[in-house]
Amino acid sequence: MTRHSSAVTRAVRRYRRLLTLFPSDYRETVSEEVCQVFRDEYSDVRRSGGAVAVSALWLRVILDVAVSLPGAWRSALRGTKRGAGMGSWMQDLRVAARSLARRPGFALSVAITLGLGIGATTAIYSVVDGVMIRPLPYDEPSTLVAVGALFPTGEWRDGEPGLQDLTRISMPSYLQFRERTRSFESLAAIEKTDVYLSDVGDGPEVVRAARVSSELFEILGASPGLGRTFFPEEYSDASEDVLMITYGVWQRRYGGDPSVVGRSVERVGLPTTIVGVLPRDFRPPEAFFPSDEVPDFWIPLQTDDRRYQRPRPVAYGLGRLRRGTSVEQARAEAGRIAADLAGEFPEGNAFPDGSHLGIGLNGLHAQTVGTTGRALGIFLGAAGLLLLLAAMNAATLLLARSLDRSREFGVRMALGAGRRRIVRLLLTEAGILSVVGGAFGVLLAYGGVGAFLRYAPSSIPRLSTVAVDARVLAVAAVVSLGTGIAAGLLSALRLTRRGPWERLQGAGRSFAEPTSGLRAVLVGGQMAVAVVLLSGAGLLFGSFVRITAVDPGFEPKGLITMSENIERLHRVRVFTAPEGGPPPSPITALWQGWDIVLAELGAVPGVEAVAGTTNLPFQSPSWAPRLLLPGDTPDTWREGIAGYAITPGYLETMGTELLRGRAFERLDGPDAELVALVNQSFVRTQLRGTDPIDMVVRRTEGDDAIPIRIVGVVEDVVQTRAEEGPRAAIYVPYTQYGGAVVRAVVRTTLPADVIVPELRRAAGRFNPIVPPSDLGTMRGRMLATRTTPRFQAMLIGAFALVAMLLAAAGLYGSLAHAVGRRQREFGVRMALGAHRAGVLRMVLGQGMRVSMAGLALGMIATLWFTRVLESFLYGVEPNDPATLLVVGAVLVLVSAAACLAPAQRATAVDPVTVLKAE
Amino acid sequence: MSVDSREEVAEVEPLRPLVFAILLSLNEQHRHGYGIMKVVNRQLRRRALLGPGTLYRTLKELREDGLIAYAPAPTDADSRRHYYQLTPQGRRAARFEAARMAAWVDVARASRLLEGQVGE
Repeated sequence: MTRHSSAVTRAVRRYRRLLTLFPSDYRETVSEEVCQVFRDEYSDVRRSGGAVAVSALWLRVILDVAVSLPGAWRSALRGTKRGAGMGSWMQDLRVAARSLARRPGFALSVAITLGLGIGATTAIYSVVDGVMIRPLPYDEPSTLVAVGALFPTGEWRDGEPGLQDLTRISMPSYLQFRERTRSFESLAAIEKTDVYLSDVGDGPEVVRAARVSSELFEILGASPGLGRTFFPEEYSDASEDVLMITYGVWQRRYGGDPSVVGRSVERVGLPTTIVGVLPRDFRPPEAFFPSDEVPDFWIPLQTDDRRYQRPRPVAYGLGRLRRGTSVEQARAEAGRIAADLAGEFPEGNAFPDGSHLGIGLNGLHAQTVGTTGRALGIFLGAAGLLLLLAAMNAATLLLARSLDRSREFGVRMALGAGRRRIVRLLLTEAGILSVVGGAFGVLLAYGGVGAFLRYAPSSIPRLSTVAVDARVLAVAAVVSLGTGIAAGLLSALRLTRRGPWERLQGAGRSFAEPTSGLRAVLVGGQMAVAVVLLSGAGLLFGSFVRITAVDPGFEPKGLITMSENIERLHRVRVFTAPEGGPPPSPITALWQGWDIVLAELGAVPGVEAVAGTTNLPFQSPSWAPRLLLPGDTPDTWREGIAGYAITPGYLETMGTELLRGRAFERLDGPDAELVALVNQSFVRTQLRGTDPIDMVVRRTEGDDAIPIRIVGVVEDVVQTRAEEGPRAAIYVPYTQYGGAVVRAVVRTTLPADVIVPELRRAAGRFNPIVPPSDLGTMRGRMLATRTTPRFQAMLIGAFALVAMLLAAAGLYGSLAHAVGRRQREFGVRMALGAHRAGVLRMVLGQGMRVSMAGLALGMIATLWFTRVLESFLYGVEPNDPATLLVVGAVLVLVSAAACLAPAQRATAVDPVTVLKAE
Repeated sequence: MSVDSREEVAEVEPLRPLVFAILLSLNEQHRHGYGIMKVVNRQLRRRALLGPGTLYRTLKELREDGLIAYAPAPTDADSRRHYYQLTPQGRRAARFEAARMAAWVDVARASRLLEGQVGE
């Protein structure tokens, strides 16, 4: 071996060592060749150059390795065969941006389409995030639970498994439970109440307040922002009256004056001292205080108050579970304690049929959110469907566009751009479009969330936490890029399947498009999604219309309603007019209060009739009398009969029809025979159609069973809401029942904005301290119960409308594009004698075939999808054939309209021009 | 293939000089790696290949893009060496690039940029 060749071998060995820096797969594939080239070059340079040239060579080789190293590693790590060789992604970005800028119309349509889907999804997601996902704003929120009483019938709220249907618990039961339970670290009681203040300017005022037991502030981790919380002795009836105010009321009512602490406020009948201001970030649990009912005044709950001695439902519990105790364990324990209590203290706990009141609890988050998740799930699903449709629509557009660019891609591929490179370019374009679309979508989401919050029914909890924030934006970004890239990938992969040369040679001329199958799937898919959304919207609208069309059982036009608490009225009257003789019997005092109120209202000019009831229609009945019908044993428990006490003129004032028998008269007084009216549903469900007139039923009260004679039958009147359907009801004269609250109904021909102030003034005459509550029109009350179904119908309807337009645009665009590319074919056909009508039929047929296939697919999907709507529908089955038929008809028409223009354009082809162009 | 559309020329990115030079070096004859490097470095001078690493990355890409392919080695050749040849696509790409350049030269001529220097 010569000196030269051994030097070369040594150099190659060193070079090989250098190559170990490269990834192993790179070395395996090329290192032999690379070493060979190095050997040749080194050999040449050493022979001709000398030491300097050799050093220069080494320098160059090291530089060479350094330069090619990153690319080699990049491609190895990506697992791809290619590095960034033919150009960096920055270059791709430039090229893609340039290419998009040349077709702004195309770019805009894709971005808007994507934006619509992304905007809808982002907006709804931010609502879901705020309402469902975000933790409650307290320490260790997962250990917080709501505690309440549980009726023996129906443990789960609205059939939602795992969510107990809690109601208020009586103070004796609460205190016993608190004594016996071992599951809680601490437990607080909360009672909602009102207080009457007369310490500031504009006269007396009713304000929302909460009575809370000593543990509450500690459980919520709230320390006073100013002043102090309550002392232990202040939770006793014997103590001075104190209260705390919220930050908001401190600012609004007391101008943020720090000297407010220690100030005495005039609470009607009770001078009370403000001892502290709650911190600004204090958030009372929404499970107990919906956002529009946040109490401003906080009062210590004095458990030894006389009011609490009776087993009356008053309060909810808020507790923190012991570490390691699950909600299920605590529930089991609560069930055992409730059973014990029913045995030891039957009054108010045990029922005649052997069942008893239970005690239940829910996680505070679950209690707050309730069953809202179902509705939000449907909203999110609808938004997701819209996004899917938008993505398919964008993919169709991208596909059409790439077809037009086949020639450009052919040239690019011929010039050394591989398939991967073309795909990358197309993906970059799709990426840019999705970023623009995403930005547009986020704008839409901001507007959408604003609109959602504005129109959403207040029954949706936690709306104050809903915001488009960084988390939501991150989701939006992922969704946008994902959607855009998916749409881009679909068209790019499909397009680059053919080799470059076929592409260059045949581009734009071929009769059959290679992508027509995929496009048909995309267009049909959009149609299918539109069918699902439209059907959902149609069902919700149909349901809403049926709810609106339910006969309420009275004439709502010209009815004004108002409530007055007679017990309070007496307290106020005693307070304001202390001279008065010995009080009448409580029940007489109550109905005399009714008379005062109704007389005062009846004297208002423009009032044609006035009457009173214990509960209005479209309001939860507050009285469920226990009735025993002839043949019932004393432990019979008839469920769900609503009781109403009404004044004699009530039916007439309301316009409710008396079907049989007689209405109440003045003579049906407290000393006369006890009488009652029942409604049609009562006759149907409780009496199985037997004639009720003169039937004597018994109302049990404690151990007594008071006989009542049924004297008439009235038509059904809606109770809480129209969609719950007709329910049994019994009416008694107000003078034979003690109703603490009178709901007055006033019939007038005057417009509401004229009469309402007059009525308010009249109310001020009998109660100068406390303004009347619920003063408004009956129509307003009815509308309020329909906010939720209306909102659902509107929201899904908006999605469906956008979906239909997008699907129609997709169909139109795709067909128009295909027609444009087949000009030559149509020319040839017509040159060979095809009739225009035939060509028109052919194109129309092609478009409609795809659309109809989508329609059929959508219908099948609809049957499956709309089942989730079942619990939201009233009077409509989820697969209501009429709705599906209408949706189908609408989409057939829309499809035909979308196909017509392109089809006509096809027939307008002039064969001569087309053939000349060959 | 003729280049008849200026838009099309503008639409497509030019080949990198290195790629063009490699394709040109293989136009007349098959070469092995070092042979290509020598020819290319002679032609490009200042923008020459740095070394074998860069060369092989480029050759690999061109091969994957179908512009060049392995060629049968001459009978006397070293078995460790791969020989390369142009594919029809590679030949067309190079011709397209040359045409593109020529088209630009035409543009330059039309704008009288080259007046008095080349051919007139």
